Amino acid sequence: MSNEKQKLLDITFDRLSEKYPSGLYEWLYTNKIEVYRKIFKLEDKINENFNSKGSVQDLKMILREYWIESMKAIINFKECGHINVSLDEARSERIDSLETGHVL
Amino acid sequence: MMDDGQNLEFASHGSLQSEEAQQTEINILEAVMSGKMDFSTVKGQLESSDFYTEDHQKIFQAFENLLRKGEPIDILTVNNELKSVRRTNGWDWTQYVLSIQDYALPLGTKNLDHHIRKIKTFSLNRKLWKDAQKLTKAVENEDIDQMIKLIADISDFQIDNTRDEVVILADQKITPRTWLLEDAIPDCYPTIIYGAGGLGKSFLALNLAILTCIGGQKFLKKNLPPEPRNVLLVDYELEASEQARRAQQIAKGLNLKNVPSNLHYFEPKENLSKILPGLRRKIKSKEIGFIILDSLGASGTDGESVHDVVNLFTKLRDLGVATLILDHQSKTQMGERYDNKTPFGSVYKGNLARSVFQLSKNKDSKNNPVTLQLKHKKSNFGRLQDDLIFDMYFEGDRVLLTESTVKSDETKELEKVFEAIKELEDKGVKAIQKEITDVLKNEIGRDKVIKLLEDGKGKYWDLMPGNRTEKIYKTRNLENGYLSNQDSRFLKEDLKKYDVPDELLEDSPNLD
Repeated sequence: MSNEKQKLLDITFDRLSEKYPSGLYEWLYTNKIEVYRKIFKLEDKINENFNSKGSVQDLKMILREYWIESMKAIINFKECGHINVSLDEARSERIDSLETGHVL
Repeated sequence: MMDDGQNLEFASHGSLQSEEAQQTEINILEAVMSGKMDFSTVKGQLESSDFYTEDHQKIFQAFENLLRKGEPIDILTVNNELKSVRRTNGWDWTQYVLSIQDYALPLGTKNLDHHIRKIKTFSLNRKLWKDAQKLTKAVENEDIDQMIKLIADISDFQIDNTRDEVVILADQKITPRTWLLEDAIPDCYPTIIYGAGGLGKSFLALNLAILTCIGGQKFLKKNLPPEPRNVLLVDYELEASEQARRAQQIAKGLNLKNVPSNLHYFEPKENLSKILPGLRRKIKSKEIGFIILDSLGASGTDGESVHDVVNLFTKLRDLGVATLILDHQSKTQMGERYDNKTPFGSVYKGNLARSVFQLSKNKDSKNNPVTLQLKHKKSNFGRLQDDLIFDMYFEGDRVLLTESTVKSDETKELEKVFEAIKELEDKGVKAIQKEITDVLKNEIGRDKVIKLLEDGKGKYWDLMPGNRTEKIYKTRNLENGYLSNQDSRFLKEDLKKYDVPDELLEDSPNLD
């Protein structure tokens, strides 16, 4: 089962990484914090399922929602076309928040 | 009424009713002989004395004899059984029994019980009439004993009649429901499509008519009858030449060379109530399986008169075929919403039709194609259907109706409410009605939000108890199977829209 889960994860992340525009997370963090939190929570759920005995069907469900939320964010980002703060600044602020656990 | 030489003597209390009684009897006798109706069902509800003519009474008794002997009931066995019985006028039975087939109207299986009840009612009326005449004589003769006896008899009749209508549900045969358009237009009953003028009701009806004529077709993924049916367009609005032109446009839109030859047109010169008896004959002679009436408003029926409307719908139901009635609606006044409008006139129209749709233009509609939506406002036979949305293309000499990719206005509003609840959930705020209406205050009015919250319950979100009387809306999510909910078009559409990999779909095969 873990073999199949791994394949599902690979498919999802490989194909999404082809679509991720640079700066998406930073843009979400500074402009759409709710969406950023939602995607963050879904990643947690994916990890939780993968590391526990959660079923493959459950993992598929989580990955489907993760895919849809990510795609919505990507489309939104592309439509907006820019971020208001410098990428580096936003990135370091976001990473700081991750390390200190402020985001969630 | 039978043309084999038998001239029936009508009772003095109204020849039309007598004629209708005989026609109803013929319908039932034919239904039993052709096997459409099980005689044991009829026997429990009628007696031979309930029939108007002696000949019909004798045929009914022949049915009883055959049932008792365990023999099948059909034209041959009935004719054979009647050999030893003398006809009222001394003529031969064979011709009469055969002609019953010709004179009977094609009844839908749903309407048979209704016809049995009619025979019973006619029978009771005749008995009451006879007693009333006797009572008049008793009054004239000042015969008080006779008067008391007759009044008691009349009361007994009424009690008996009431008893006849009480049936044991467990004994009732359940027959599968049939549809002209799956889950939308029931067979054998009237359906109304109403909407403002000029929207395309007639084109929609013609499209349905032609697809029904062909047989085995679908409209907006819904099945039409598998076999071709003859269709009759009863048209009070347009002339034959204009309808022919429109039918040709629709036929071309469906890639047909010609309009099907089983699409019939009838332009009545009198109002609908007057033409209905003649219409029965047309249905019989042309073997019509679907009638379209365009439009009720123009048919001369007084839409405001309860009596007229009830009478008309009863007669339409008695025709025994699916009837699609096009109707106008009153104009929207200042402050009224289009989708709150009802068919023009008496509220009974909507009440008596078994299925009612409102046709309207979708808010995102362009001029060509025009995007139209059919909103299911009433269904007696099952749940209300989701809005049926279609595009109507006008391309030169053809008109094409296709399923639209545009979401219904209600779906879009439900999605907005869904997003609002999600937003509150993500912020950690309780999604109660007040909070949700606040989030949407610049987009959707409070009353509408409250209605949408009710409509989307169990489909987009669930209602959870909060503190005291508080009710919290919770979006259907991964934990309660939202994504796999068959009814959730919202996320199903997302799967396609956002190009979710096949491997992640619910029914994808194992990867191991």
